Amino acid sequence: MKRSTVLLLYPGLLLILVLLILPILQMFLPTFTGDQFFLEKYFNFFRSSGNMQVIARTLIIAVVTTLITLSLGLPTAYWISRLGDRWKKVVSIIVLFPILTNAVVRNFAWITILGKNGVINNFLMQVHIIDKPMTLLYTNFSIVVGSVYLFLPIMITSLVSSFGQLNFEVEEAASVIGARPMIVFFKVILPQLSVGMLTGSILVFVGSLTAYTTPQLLGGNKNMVLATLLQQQSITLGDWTSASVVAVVLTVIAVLVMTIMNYGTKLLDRRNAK
Amino acid sequence: MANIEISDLSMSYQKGKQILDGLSLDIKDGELLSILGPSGCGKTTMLRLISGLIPIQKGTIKVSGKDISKVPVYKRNFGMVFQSYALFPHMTIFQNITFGLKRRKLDKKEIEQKALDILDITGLSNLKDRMPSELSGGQQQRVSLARALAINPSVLLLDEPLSNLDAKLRIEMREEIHRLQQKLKMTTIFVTHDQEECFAISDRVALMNQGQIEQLDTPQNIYKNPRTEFVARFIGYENFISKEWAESKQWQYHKDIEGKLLTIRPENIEIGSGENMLSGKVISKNFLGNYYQYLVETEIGVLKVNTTEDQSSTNAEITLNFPEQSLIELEDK
Repeated sequence: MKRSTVLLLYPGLLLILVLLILPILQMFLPTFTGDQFFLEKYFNFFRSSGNMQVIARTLIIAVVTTLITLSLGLPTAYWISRLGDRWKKVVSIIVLFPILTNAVVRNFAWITILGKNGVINNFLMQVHIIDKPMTLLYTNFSIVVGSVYLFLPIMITSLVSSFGQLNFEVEEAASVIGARPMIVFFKVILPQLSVGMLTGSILVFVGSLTAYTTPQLLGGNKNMVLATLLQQQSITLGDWTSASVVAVVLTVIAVLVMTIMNYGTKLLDRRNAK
Repeated sequence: MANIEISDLSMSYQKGKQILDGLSLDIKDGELLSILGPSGCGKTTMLRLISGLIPIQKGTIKVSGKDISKVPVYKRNFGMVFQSYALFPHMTIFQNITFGLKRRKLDKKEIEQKALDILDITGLSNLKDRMPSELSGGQQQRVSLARALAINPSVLLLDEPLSNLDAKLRIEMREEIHRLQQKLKMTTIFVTHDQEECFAISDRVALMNQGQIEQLDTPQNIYKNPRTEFVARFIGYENFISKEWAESKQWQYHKDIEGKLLTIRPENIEIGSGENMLSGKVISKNFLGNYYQYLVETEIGVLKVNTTEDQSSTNAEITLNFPEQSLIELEDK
């Protein structure tokens, strides 16, 4: 690269340094300083059973959301990939449509559906399946429902592109030499989709790990996850150091999971490319 | 081993387009039969109906006397080779070949032995641990053939297996298919649009047009005695002469079937005199490597004449001779 071209990179790099790297350092450093042992704040954080519960809830919700979007996304993506070119475009746009609406609006819609006087409870009471409303809202269940709704389009989109690379004749070749449809799916189609499935899973997992609006609006104050705990520590309690500890824990988990999954993708990729 | 009887096979798509139209065909045990035809003639559809990849709408297919219409594709025990090779990209060559064997109730030792045998006769032993993407097109198609043969199929189906290969590999691979087919005496159906590759290895050729078989015969007979204008045109007859006109000139020709049209190959017309003569003027001359091609304007239109020697030049007035044995009468269609 020419020197003058390198010069063009400086404004962008400077922006990243000032607005991203420095604030992150500013967030990280106070959690390690002070009179006590440098990890003391973290020991305190992990010693609290309430905090451990929040971490567990966050991870469980992220895992369950990923698994549900994966199992709902696979058949949908398969169907979309087999559509004709024009319909494929139309359906893909419809799938992405929920992403275009504001997250707050979307979650309010779920509140009116899942609430005590919501659509589901009203209906079930009217047909006399239940006599008093069930608690659906402000539970782990409602957070998962909202997250699945939020992340399903992302999962479907990454799976569709993966399905698109499949060669029809490969499946036919498998069935001619004796593979039943189930075998064709599990031994021929699914392994070829592994990269797309992993990519989609990383996006959904990390997305729901760090999501704030959905757990805040659908989970309420009792069902806290790391992101809502962080908000509480900083904005509500004004304890910025504790908030930073939460932020660091969240960041480390996210980076760790992404690294592991990326490594998995690379392994599979190499197997496919070999 | 098996023979195949196809009777009255018809197939049409929703929009009313008839793909196969009451087609009947018998394939003998151990025979290599080619289905030759232009794209869209229904040849691939027919192969897919036989394989079971698409369900039969009308008609029956019997293999060794048994109707297979209701047998699902994975139970038919056929081998198939596709134009796109269709190897399993996530499996090694060895795994590709054992895939079909593993679907059968065989013990591990047997599977391994059969796979090694087939790798040996197809000359792929040294590639068994590679992935398909590491192989050349020719090698991939060889693996595809080995994978189809590994299950010891009763019928081998080949769907334009040579179309994606370059000219030299195509000849090599065609010889390989022929060699293996002869060795294993396997009933084989070979779908192609290339007459040279089909003539080279087939016992018989079914030439298809618009969902029907125009002519079913040995390669030699199709080449020498095409029955219809379509067949004649497809295999390189380019000059067509009205029979009525020829009779008025008392020409002699090869009589076999009854029709209104006669045909002759460009290389069979001679420049000079003989039994059936016609004069004309050379309007163009082209050198095409192993022959010269003349376009000669005559009273019955422009004719194509190919000669191995340079025998005339543009604007020359010449006399053409049409040897009796090469002038063939065609059936009306």
